[in-house]
Amino acid sequence: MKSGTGELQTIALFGGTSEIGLAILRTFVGPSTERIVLACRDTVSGQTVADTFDERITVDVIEWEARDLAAGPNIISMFGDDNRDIDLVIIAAATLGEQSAFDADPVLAGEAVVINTASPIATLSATTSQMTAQGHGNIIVLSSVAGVRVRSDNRVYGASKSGLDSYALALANELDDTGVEITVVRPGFVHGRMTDGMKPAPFATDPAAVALATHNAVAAGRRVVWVPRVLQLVFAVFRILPNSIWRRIRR
Amino acid sequence: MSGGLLKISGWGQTSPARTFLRDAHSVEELHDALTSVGHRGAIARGLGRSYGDAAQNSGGSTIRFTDRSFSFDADCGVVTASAGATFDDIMTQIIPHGWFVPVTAGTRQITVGGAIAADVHGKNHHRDGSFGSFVQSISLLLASGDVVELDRSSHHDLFFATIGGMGLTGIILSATFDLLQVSSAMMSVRTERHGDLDTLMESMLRNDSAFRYSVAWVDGTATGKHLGRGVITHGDHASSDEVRSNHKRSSDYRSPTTIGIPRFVGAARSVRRSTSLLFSELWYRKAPKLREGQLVSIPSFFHPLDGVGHWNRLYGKSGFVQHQCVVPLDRDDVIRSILHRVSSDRPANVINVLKRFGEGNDAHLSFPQPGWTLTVDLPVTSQLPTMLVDIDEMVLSAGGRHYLAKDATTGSHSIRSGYPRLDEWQHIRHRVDPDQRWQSDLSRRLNLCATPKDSE
Repeated sequence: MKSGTGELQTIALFGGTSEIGLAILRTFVGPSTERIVLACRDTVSGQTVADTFDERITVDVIEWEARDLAAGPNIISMFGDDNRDIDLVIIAAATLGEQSAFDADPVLAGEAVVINTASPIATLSATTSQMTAQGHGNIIVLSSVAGVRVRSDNRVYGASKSGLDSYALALANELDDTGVEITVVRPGFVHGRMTDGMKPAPFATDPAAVALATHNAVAAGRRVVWVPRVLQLVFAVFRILPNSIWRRIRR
Repeated sequence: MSGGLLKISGWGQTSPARTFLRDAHSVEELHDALTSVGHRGAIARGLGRSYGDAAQNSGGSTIRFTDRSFSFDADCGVVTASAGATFDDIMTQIIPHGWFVPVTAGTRQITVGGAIAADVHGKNHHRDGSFGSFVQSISLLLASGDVVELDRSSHHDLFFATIGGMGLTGIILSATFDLLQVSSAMMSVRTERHGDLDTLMESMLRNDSAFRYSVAWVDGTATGKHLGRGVITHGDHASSDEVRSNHKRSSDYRSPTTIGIPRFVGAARSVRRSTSLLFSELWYRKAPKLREGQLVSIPSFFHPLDGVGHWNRLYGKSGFVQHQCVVPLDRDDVIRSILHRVSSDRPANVINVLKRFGEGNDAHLSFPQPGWTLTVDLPVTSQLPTMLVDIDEMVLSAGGRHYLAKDATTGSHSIRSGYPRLDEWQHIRHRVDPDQRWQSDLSRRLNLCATPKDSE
């Protein structure tokens, strides 16, 4: 349950070792936090992360394979069983990949869409039915500006985020007045493990900035958060660019 | 029966719940309402005066038992009331006959069911104990659908688990309790003003046993050597002689006419802050250094805030936390530290109440225990959580605890250390509600209804 001052007791992070996911999670951890669930593929790294939290918090590291579409919903159903509510679910797992690798291996391309779109949608679906039943809850979905208008050199990642982004926003409309709120996060280029070695795009940001902006957006009840904010303006222009120009834009 | 999915909250207006709110006007309607209760369970709600999330149930059912009837035996001074009967109605009827409720909270807008579930206390706790001590018997609707009569000899353990049990043992249908005989509808009051916490506490310890009612308002804005300055009010029911010799004052014992605070009120924080400074200064200054034998009406002595409808809106739309704790008598240093913390953080704080509690009772989750109890109103701000953590730590390490009817922010660990008999209570609860039919946001937040370890 949320406390009277809006502090959260129970938080689950899908992509339990995700830098951005963890940075967001940490902004919500407070004195009232009693339980954290880290769903991740690599439970050894997950355990290392778990050990960084205050020892009064129960941190469960659960092995989770995003390509297994039943795995996310199964984790969510645990909360329903023990009668303690889940206050926040952060969906952060994603794969960026190289477009050239996807072109060489069509199965890899398909799998990326499973990880970035199908798996989050399955988990979101389970989470919203659990939260609607409890009458409250917050969900944070990590999207990307790459999904706002998909570039050809990044088309698998961009299209997969685009699918997730539109699903999450449509779901948010469906959840009006249920007490369940969804926040879609659209960061630009984020310095970190996932983008290591890549040339930063303009308006690059970092996990801490994404986390802070996300926290504030959740507190204010905003559905979409752009990080940095200027990207909203940039993409307002990008969205209306004629395709003849857009097709030539490379990062 | 009526009601649908509605957003409700406690008196502090924090953490609203979306719940299936149902009104049941009779026991039959109550049974009907319970047939549709799902896995999120149900909780009873009276007039919604508990501050936090005790009388709401997100995603589940919240049931108001609206039968307000009661019967009154004017010869023996006993009332048998439906759980929905209000203290306001009861007092209005019994006072002209020379009787008074044995315990009254800071408002008369509470129900008998709520008073038992929270085991409410009043300004007479140091002498008389809490409301539960005057309850002879309780009629309780169990999760099984059966109705049991509880008293000190039959179902002794369930009787005490229900007093202070926050509605989690079943739905209280009715109760019989003793009244207090009084010789007038007026209060004879002694007021003392003290310039600092030491003299205030000393005076309270020295004098409160001579009066049935005793409480101090403490200035939460005063700092330095004035920290904890305040005004003690001692009172007794006035004798008929005292009242005869004083005709000036109104002796109206009925609920005061209210001035409502509209929904949009909730001034900017800076305005609230300066208002609280001004109010505190005036309140302190207007009190006499010492005044004895002043006659005042029952509402102005016990329920001054009842004259301001929805005064909870004054704190703005984020709501406020009314934090009430008790610490052992020899830990007055904790009271000082809390006041120090509150006054140095400078929230817009107005109402702080200090009182000495007497002996506790046999109810497992009853809040009062011997010691000092301090109540502070704290508007919700971004700094509040940290401040509350510090305060809670001081309270718990001193062997104190929090009042469940006001709590909105503590966690399951804190409650466990404050209420050492929680395990025992959980066993009794589990026996009568193994399927967790009774749940509330409070019970989930504090994990109150957890299955006891050896019952799994």
